[in-house]
Amino acid sequence: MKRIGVFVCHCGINIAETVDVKRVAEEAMQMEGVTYAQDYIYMCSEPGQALVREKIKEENLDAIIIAACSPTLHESTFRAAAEEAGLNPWQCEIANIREQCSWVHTDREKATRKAINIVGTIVQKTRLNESLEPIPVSITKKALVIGGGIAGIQAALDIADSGYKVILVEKESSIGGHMAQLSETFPTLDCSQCILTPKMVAAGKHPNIELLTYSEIEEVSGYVGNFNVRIRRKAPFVDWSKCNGCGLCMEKCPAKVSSVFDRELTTHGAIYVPFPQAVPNKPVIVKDSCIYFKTGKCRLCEKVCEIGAINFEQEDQFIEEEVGAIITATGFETLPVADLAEYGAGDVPDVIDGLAFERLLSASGPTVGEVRRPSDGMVPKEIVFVQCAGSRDPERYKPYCSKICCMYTTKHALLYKHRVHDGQSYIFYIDIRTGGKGYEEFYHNAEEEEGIIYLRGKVAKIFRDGDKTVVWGTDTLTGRNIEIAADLVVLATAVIPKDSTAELVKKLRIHTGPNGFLSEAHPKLRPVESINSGFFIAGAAQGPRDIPETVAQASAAACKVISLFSRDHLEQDPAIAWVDEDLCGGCRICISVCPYDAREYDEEKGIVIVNEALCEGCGSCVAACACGATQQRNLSDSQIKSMVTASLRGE
Amino acid sequence: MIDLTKTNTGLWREITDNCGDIRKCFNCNTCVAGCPAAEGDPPLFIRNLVRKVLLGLEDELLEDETPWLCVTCSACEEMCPMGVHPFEVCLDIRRWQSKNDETYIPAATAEIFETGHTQAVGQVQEKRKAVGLEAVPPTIIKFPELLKIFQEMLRNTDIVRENDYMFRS
Repeated sequence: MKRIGVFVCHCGINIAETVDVKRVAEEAMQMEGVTYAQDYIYMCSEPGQALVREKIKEENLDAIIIAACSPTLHESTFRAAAEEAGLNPWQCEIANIREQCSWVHTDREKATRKAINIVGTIVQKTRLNESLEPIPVSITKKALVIGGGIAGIQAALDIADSGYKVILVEKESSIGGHMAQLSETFPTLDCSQCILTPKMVAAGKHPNIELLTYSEIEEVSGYVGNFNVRIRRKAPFVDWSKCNGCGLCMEKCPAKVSSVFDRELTTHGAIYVPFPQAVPNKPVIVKDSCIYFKTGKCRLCEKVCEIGAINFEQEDQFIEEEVGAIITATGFETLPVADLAEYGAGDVPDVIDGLAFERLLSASGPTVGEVRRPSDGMVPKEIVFVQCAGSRDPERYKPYCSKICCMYTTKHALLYKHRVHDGQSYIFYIDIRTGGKGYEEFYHNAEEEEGIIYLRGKVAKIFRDGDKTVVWGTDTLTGRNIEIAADLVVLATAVIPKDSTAELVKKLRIHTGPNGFLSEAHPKLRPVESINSGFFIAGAAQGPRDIPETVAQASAAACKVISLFSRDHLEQDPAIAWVDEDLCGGCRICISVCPYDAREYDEEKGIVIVNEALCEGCGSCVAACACGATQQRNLSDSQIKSMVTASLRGE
Repeated sequence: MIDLTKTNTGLWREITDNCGDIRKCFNCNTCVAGCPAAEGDPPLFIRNLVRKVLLGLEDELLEDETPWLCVTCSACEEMCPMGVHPFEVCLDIRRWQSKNDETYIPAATAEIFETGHTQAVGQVQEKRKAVGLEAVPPTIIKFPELLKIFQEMLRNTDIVRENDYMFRS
């Protein structure tokens, strides 16, 4: 018979206040198989662990039970302690008497009896536990980064610099993302492109980075360390290996397409590169807008291309890759102005969003950095900025704070003043939130030195009156309604996840939260990991964030990948499903219930085997198996039966 | 409704003199929270005065009598986190009002003449009585002969001499 030791934790008063821990230890001592039981104030403390190690040796224990908090917190702590004292780690079990007992009850007597019962149940499980060894899984030391904005670029560079291969996939024809659209960045006002383009160039030239732009993820299968990825390379209708980026085709193209990059303030041809510093600097033909594709006539670009790089016959290509880790950094979009009915629903020409204003401020933008309004090109003398346009509005739009708008709006007003010295700017806000290094100082400087007028209150209505755009709001600090007949209105529209994120997460089998942003494994302690192993997240795809935070998070995600790749192999928890080959009839019900694709039919043997690297030990197939052929290690039918019997005893 | 394109948003340059940079004010309201005159009737809300100056509400400010309610205790001076010197804001506004309109006679001057108070204490007499205090807070008013001398002194000032219909003892 196994000699089992039970260690009951007080957790200060977390457990001891509601549960009589001494009595739990005394009662445990009476249980069959238990040869030692002791309570202690903090079992997880170093002296607590030392007590466990000491008693394993002294009392010659074969297995231990720690009656304490949830196994998600300290199971690994005590398994390590057990191993140090010479026990197999799977001979250590946790009886959760905190989250599932003391924290949810108030009656001390009943809670104590329940705690005794929980311990009794785990004693039954422990008596039949086998000693197990972790399952080694190989790792493909190559990463996939999805999204070529600053988050994806930074993560790819960090991984590549540490010597591992990276595939950087970007949907658009160039990397750069939203940061490439920005004029200057708060709070230091460095030119966005000036600090971004060196990183773009580095990513484009890095020997360890394979850049796949104009590409999208088609399919992802596999598991941590061993993913299989299918990538679609959309046909650019230009042979990029020939194209030298001379730009003649773009000059001659007679089609007019609204520029997404310039927030539709300008147009470009059907063949285009989004901006001059694009990496790679290769054009693509937008099939839906190309006159040749629509009418069968034109091919002007082909005629002017001296090197014959235009290829209308090109088709999408598919690339299969094996990678060990995947970082999702798909970024953000902003709520369309058209969605904001009270702010003109996109029908008032001089109501634009923050990204459009960035393009107006940008030296490489449609107005070469001069602030000119869209309707008639006039330089606005009275300009109104409206914050929280769609943010902090749970009734109609988005419940959350978009976080970056306070800062970029102040930056906008300040840069406007730098360009239009006699102009007056007004900012309507609900609160000014400047949590960041140098941010509060930046805001005060703008308010004091640039004469920006901050008005605390949300704008109720924006409408056109002649060539003016009238804004109705309130200054809640005086309690007075305010009217401003402005020349231009800039809305700080809510930051939202990209449309394509929803579809991508389904392919990756990772999760999003209620607002569509990617979910992290733990909001504080595992902020760059997805709950599914091998998947990491970075940047504004996880929630609104600014550049410094995005870069920090991207480097953190890269660090997690590097740490994964630095191991020789991964260790998979062996407490998973296994199949009794003599019993399995090959009915394949297990395949239909497995959420991890871990059950595979073996044609030769006529049975369904378990892919140990994929199995997460959820138990679905064990429950579904009609003939009892599938069993869970250390959670066998006989263990479960004796646990149920023990838990019902005395009630 | 205030049309901000028509107000004098440069007004703060005209008014502020001894006070700090009022554009630094971030409306924390500490100047009001610790102000004894904020409990008065009407109340003095220095933050609102700062706001009116910044928005350039000239006409309203000229009519505003609350700057004269300040009891000059200087509590706001101690507490303002942004160095605005709220107390000095009150004085700057008083000076600007007086300079802007030579016929301007703040109500407080009549109060000083009659009771020695800068505040309109007459309006809180019932409240004082209810808590067992004298109806009028004790000042020079307690000493009729001295009050007479005090009023004679005031009669030598231009403001009282030229507007003597307002100052009857």
